Amino acid sequence: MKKLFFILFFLILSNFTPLNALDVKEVNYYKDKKAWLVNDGNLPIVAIKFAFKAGSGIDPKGKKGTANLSASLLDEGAGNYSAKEFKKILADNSITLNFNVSHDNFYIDLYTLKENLDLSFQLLDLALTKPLFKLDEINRIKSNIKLILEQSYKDPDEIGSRLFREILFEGHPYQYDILGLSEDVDQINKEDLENFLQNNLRTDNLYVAASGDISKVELKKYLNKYLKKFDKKNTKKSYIPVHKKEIQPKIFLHQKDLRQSNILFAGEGISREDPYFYSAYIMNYILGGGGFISKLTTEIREKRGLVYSVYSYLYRYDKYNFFSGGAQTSNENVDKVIKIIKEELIKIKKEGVTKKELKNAKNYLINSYVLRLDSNKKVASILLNTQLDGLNIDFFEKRNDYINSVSVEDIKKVANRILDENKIFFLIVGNPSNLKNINKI
Amino acid sequence: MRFLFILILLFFIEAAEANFFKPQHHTLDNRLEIIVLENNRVPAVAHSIWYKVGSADEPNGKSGIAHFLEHLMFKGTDKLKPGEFSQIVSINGGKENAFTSKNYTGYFQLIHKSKLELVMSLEADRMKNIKLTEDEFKNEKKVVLEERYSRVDNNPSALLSEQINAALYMNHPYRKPIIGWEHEIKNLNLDDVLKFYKKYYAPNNAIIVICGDINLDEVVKLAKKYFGKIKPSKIEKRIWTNEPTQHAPRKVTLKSQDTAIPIFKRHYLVPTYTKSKKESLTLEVFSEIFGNPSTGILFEEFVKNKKLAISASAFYYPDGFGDTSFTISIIPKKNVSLEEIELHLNEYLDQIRKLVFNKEELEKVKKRLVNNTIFAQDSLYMGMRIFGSSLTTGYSLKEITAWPKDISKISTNDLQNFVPNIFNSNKSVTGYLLPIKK
Repeated sequence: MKKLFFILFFLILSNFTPLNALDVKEVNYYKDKKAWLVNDGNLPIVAIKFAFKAGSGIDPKGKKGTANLSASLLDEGAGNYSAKEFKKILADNSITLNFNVSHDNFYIDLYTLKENLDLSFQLLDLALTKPLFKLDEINRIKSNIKLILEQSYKDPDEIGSRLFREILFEGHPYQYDILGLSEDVDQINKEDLENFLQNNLRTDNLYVAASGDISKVELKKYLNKYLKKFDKKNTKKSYIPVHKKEIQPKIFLHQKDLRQSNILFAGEGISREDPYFYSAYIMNYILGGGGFISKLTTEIREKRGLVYSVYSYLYRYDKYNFFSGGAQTSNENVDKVIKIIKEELIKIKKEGVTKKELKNAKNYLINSYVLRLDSNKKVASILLNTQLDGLNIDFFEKRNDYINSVSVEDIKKVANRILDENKIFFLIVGNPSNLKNINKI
Repeated sequence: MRFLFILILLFFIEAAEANFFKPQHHTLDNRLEIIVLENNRVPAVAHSIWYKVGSADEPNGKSGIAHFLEHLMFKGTDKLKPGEFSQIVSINGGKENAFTSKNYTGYFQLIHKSKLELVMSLEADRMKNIKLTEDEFKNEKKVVLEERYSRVDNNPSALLSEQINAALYMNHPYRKPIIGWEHEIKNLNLDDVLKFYKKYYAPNNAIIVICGDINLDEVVKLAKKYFGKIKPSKIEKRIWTNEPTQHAPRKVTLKSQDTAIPIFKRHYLVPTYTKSKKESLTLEVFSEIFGNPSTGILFEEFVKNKKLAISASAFYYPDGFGDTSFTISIIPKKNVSLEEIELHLNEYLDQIRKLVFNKEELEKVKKRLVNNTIFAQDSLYMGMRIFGSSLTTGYSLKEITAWPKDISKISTNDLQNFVPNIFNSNKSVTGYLLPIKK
C-alpha cells in the first residue's frame, strides 16, 4: 500500500503547471541601451547588478592586477568622503555596494532598501567618477592582495586553482589570477587606476539588471541620470584574444604532504551558441552536476565510499569554454578515483544515457528553475548572466523547450565530442601512492 | 531633547515590527511543532524539519554520531532504497540537503509548492523507519572520514579552531567538534547510531519550519496526515555539564606548511541568549560596533590607526545553552608578529573596558541590525534557517519575533554594564596559526 503511494507520485509528475514566474521588462534608458527589470514589490528592497566587459583579462603586461585593484579601491573613499566615512554611510543606511572583477567582467552589486535608492546612486556615482585613490589606501590594499597571492603557493586548494589555470590557459591572459602578479601589483600607480576606469567603464560594454521594488520609470530615471556620462566614443576598447590550445592527456602532480589529495580534471567545453549546448548541459548534469544522484557521486561516493565530494561542471569564459571537475580523496585512493572517473566518461560516450535518466534530468532542470527566483538578489543575477550569455529576453519562455528538445542520441553525440579522454588532463595536489606516468610540477 | 528621542524610538519600534516575519504556529497532538512563514513571491516552499539534538547530546567517547546519523538518513527506509530519497526529490525538481550543529540536526527541501505533500510524506517516513545494513554503514563511515579530512585535517584554520574550541570549554560538550574526533568516528558502530536515532528522532523532539507560498491550515492538514500517527517518545530533558570557574588563560599554537597567512585568534567564554538575555542582546549590538569587518572600531584601531593588521573583526554567536564564544580574529600585516598583535590587543581591550558609548552611534548601529531582518526575508531559505536554528537553540517564538524590538531597547547603560565582563582573560583562549617557512 505504502509502496503504491510513492508510485502514484511518480505518475503525476508530468502534470506540473508550467511556471511563468518571471515577468521581465526591458527598460530603454539611453540611446539603444536596455536594462532588464523584474518589478516585485513584496519587500521594500532593490537589487541592481551592473557588468562592464572589462575584467582582469585585459590587464596590460607588466601591470597584471590593474582591474582588480581598481575595483577594490572604489569604496575606499570618494568625493568628499574618506574611506572611513564612505563605508560608514553605506553601513548606517544598510546599503551593500560591492565592486569586483572576473577574468571577463567588472561587476557592481547594489542591494538596498528602496528608501535609500537615491543615496545609493549618489554614492555609486561618486565611487565611479570621483574615487580618491589615496596612496595609503592603495598601499594597504596592495599588501592585502600580495598576501593572498602568496597563499596560492601554500594553501592546498589555492595551489590547485593556480596550477589548474596555468595548465589550462598557458600563454593566455586567463592564466593569471584575477588579483594579478605580485611583482606587477607593486608597479600599478594611481594613474593606471584612473586610466582603467576612464577607458573601460563605458556604456557600449555595459549590462544592467534589476529586481525588486522599482518601476520601469524609476529605473530609467536613475540609469539615464547616472550612466549617460559613460558614453565614450573616442577611447580604444580592449579585447581579450581567443584561447586555442590542445589539451594533452597528462597527469600532473604537485607533491605535498597532505592527509588527502585534491584531484582536478579538465577538457574542452562547449559554447553557449552551439546547437548542442543543452545536450551538453544535461549530459553534465547526469554525469557529475546533479549532486547526490549524479553518476560520479553514485559510483565513487555512494557505492565505494571513496570521497565526500566529486563533481563536474561546464564553464564559459568569453574566449574559452571548458569542461571540468574534481574530487578529494585519501592519498591511497587517488589512482582508484581517477580510474573510475575515466571509466564513467567512457561509459557515457559508449552507452549514452537511458531514456529514464534523460527524463529525470529534464524534470529536475525544468521544475527546479523556480527555486532560483525567490530573491531579488538571485533574480538580478539571472537577468545579468542571461544578458552576458548573449541571450534574448525571450529566453525565459523558451528555456523549457530548449531542454525538452534534447534526445538520448544528442547526449551521446555531445559526450563523444566533449569527453575525449585523449584531451583531458588531471591535476593532483597531495601525496598519492600508486600513480604511474606522472608529470611533477 | 529627551522627548524627541523617545518619539523617534517609538516610531522606530513600530517600523521594525511592521517589517518583520509573521510566523504562524501550531502544535500537533503528538507535540510536533509547526511554524509557517508565508512568502508568496514564487510558487515554492522551503520545507524543513529540525530535531532538537546535535553533537552536544552525544554520549562520551562517541563523538560524531549526530552528524553520522544525518548522512545515514539518506540511506533508505522500509519503503525506500538507499539514495532513493534524493532521487525522488530531484526528479520532482527539488533541491535538498541537511546540516548538523551542536544543538540541532536539520533536513530541508526547496521545491515547488505542489510537491510539499510529497516531501512531508518522505520526511515523516524517515523519522522512524530508516533501515540500514552493515555494508551501507561501513561505506558511509569512509565518506564521513573523507569529509573530515576535507573540511578539517586539510585546512589549517579549521584545525586551529578545533583546538581552540577544545580548550575554551573545559567541561561542556561544546568542546567536541561537530563532525567528531577521527579516532571516535572510526570506532562508531551501527548500533550506537541507531540507539541515538531511536532516542531522539520523534515528533515531540522536532519542529517543522516552512517558508513559502503556503498557509498554516494547508500545512497542518498535511502534517496531521503524515506525522499525526507517529507516537511521541519519552524525551529526557537535556542536562549538560556546566563549565567550572576558569582560572587561567590558555594558548594554542598551530604551525602549518599549508598556509602563508598567520592568524591571531582570541576566544572569550560569554553567556548565550538562554543564559542571560539582556546581556546577550547587548553583546550582539556590541559585536557590530566593535567587530564589523569594515566599520568596526577594532578594524579602525588595528588596520587604519596603528597599521598593524590587514584585517580585524569580531563575532558573537548568541545561540546555544550555557556559554558561547566571543571571537576576535586578526590577520597581521607582513612583518608584524602575532606577539605584537597580542600585546597591542591587550592594551586596547583595557581601553574598551572603560569606553563611553555614544548614544547617536548606538541608534545607528541598532537600526542596521534591525534592517538586516528585512533583507533576511528576501529568500525562502533564510527565514527557514533563522527560525529553525533559533527555536532549537533556546529561543521561544515570541522571543524571535520580539528581537527587533528588544535590540532597539539596548541602551548605552547596558553596554557600559556588560561589555567589561566580556574580556576576562581567565576565560579566554588565544590561538596562533603560524606558517612554517621553508
